Amino acid sequence: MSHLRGNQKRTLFLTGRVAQAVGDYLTRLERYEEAREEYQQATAAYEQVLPSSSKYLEAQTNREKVLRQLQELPDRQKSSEAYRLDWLLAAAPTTSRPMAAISSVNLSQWMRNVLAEGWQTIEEFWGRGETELAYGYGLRSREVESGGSQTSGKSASQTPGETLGEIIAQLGVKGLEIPPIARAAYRDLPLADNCLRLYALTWATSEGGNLAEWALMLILGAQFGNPLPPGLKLQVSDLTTILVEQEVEPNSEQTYLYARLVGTIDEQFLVTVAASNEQILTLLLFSFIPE
Amino acid sequence: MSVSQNISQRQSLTQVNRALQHFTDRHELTKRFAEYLNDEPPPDKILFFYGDGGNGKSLLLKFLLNNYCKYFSTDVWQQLKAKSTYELVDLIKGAKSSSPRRKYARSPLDSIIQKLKRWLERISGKQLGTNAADWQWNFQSVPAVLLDFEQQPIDEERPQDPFYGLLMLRGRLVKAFARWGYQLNFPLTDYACVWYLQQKGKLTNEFIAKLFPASELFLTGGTINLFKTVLGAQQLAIALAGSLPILAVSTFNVISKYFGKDLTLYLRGRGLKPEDLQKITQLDPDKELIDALPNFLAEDLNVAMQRQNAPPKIVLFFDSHEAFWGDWRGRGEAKYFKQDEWLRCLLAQLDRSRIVAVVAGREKPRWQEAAQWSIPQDQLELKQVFHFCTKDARKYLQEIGIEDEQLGEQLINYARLDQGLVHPLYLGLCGDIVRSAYSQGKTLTAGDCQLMSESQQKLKILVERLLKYVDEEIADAIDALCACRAFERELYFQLGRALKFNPSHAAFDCLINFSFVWSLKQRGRDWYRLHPLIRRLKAEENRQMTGDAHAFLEQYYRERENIAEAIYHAIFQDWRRGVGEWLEVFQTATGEGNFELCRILEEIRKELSF
Repeated sequence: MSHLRGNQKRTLFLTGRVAQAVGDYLTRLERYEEAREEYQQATAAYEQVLPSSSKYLEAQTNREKVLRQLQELPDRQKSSEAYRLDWLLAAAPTTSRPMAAISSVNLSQWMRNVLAEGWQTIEEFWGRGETELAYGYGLRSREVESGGSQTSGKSASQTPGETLGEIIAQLGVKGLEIPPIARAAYRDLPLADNCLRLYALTWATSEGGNLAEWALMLILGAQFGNPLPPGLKLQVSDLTTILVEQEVEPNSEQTYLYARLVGTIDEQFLVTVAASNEQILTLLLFSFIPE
Repeated sequence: MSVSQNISQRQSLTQVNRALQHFTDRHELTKRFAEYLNDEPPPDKILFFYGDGGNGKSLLLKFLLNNYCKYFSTDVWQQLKAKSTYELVDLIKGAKSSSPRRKYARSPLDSIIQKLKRWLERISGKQLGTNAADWQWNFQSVPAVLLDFEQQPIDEERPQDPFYGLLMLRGRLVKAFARWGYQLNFPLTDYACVWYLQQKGKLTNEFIAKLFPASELFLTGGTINLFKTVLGAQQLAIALAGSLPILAVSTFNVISKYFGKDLTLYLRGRGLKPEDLQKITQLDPDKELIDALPNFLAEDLNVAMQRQNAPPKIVLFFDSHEAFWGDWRGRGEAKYFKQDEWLRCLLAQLDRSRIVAVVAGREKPRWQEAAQWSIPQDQLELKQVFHFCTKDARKYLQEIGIEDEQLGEQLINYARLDQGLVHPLYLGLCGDIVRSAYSQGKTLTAGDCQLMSESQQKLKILVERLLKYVDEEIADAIDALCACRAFERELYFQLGRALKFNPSHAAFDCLINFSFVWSLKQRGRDWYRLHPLIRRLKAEENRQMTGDAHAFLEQYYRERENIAEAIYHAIFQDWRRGVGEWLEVFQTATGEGNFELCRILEEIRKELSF
């Protein structure tokens, strides 16, 4: 029933937007091959919008965005034949991927300027304020916040401190404040031809002179500030429950994922960073045990 | 007298599909279908009927469904095969069973009886069992279902949808089995469907009652047992939340006679443990489970057909295969093949020795080209459905009461195509014209039918000519109803009152008696739709009445909070407004993860090709 008449003038701009929206929907469903076709149709429609059209500039902007999305689409998608009954209900494979070793990090040592192997300090966030614990820092127990976003400027010449500062400034806008007593460090995580960087900031709060809670802020970005690979996961659990699970969505152009957690003295947080193929890149067990 | 006196009586035959009643021709195709049911070994293929729109494919499927789903004993079948095609087809159609379920095992005793019969024939010199009455007991009815992909999607009845289409098929199979006294259960499918619905937040009492009506409660009992086995009673209560009471009632009624240990046996027979089923719950409902569902249905059906008390065969009919694409072509291969992927997945895995699959569509399928769930060409039997030959066209006209030979020849010539064959839709319209004229006291003669022969104009001219011989309110009603994807009596009256075309029961009965109006059962009620070619023709005419009908229907569906259907009618009125709203709703649905609504909107986009 496509033979529409009457008030039926079609616009290429709207056709492009429809194809783009369907491309986004299919990307979310990980149906990348169909998404690619939709994005190509969107691009073709935007290209045909004439300069005289009031939608010309918007069409060009959308076209550029779609072209970027096209570039970032994964080459392969999961085959629907993977759900053949014999495969689906077959016994689990006997060979499992080797488990990554867990590295323990006692963050209370950072307060005494002692770092575990592989971690490097970020001077800009090291000893800016008093070393005493912040009194009455009003956080609920087990407070969790997380998300992901993009940094505006990217420069390979930026120091880790400058990159972290930029991210924190952004997060500050979102209402995430980092107290001056926070200590920060980072470690690099190799991932194929990419190199990831995990920033960790910590601080503690006390009540009546006693340690009450400790906070951990994690930021997972790329070494040179470029967008993170799609499917990259940052997960934090308290050994029984997953508290945070962040994943880089395709075409999102996210340059970092973050999570902020607050725990009591007897709590530990297990942080997992995994690639899109489920390969675990690192397992870190954070605690805050005063010595 | 050019028109039979019977016409006026036949026109009063409302509530039946007149076209089906006067089905003509297709003997070779009918015989081939019967061979799929009865030949040993059976053809290990999918039967695919293809041909132009309006040439009777849908009618053929309904005709086979109603008359030819019969399984004969080996000897009877051999005797039938020895007859001419025409005889064979007539005999099968005439064969009646007085019992809804007569097991006709092809047993050694049956063989002895048939040999004895042949011996008696030899010594008596007379042929036994050659008329239809003699075949009364000699077949077993085969459960059969039909899924028409062109059917208007309403609520959960959405035949093209990878989830709800399968659910429709499942529901119809259960009813077809029950009709002939068989039991059918879908442990994997039901488990997966209930889990999907639970994940979608749709597992409510109301929804369960709708999807698993009282007649199917034993299935729900089966499902609840599955969940009990896998999840344990406590988790089951959590998983099923509000739907537990109704499920519990059904379980109470059936648990003693159904499933129970059957489930354990089923799993053991399949080499599975209850824990294996948990893998289903680990699948993402929109990304994975939806792709896995046809596998479950195929497996459940295959297993069901291996049971001791299973019917000898079942038939799955799929009509209007082309509706998966509408006019929406050239949008990319991945998109093209995804549309009917669930159907290919299902068909590819069915046990074709027991399950006969028949598909009809305008074009030959390109299934062998698909990257996923490809079906090789050698697993398909393609049969072209041609237009009528002259002999069958004459027979059709006689059937509908047009006995004047000269008038008949004139109508046949008009409905004839370049290749000499007669277009069934055009011929049906010719018949409608004669019958409508007769009902107004006018008797058409050959001289009245001097019509031009440009084939591309024929349909338009025929419809115009028909409307000349019907009351004004019926002509207006046709203009209005062609805006509907499907309609029923109540909607017709609402439209009529709003658009002031004086609706009446008599006019409605007349309308649904036209050859181009199809009846269908939807949501347990009688629904109708105009032939798609007529709808297309009327849409192109862009009449005021049709536009007003779209405006009414948009409002009608908005009041019922059926936003997708409202948008469908909005697009017909104003493309930019309608598509703009489509985009807004689609983006919101994507953002909210409401992928079911996205699928509904995608179907509208396909049909309206934007």
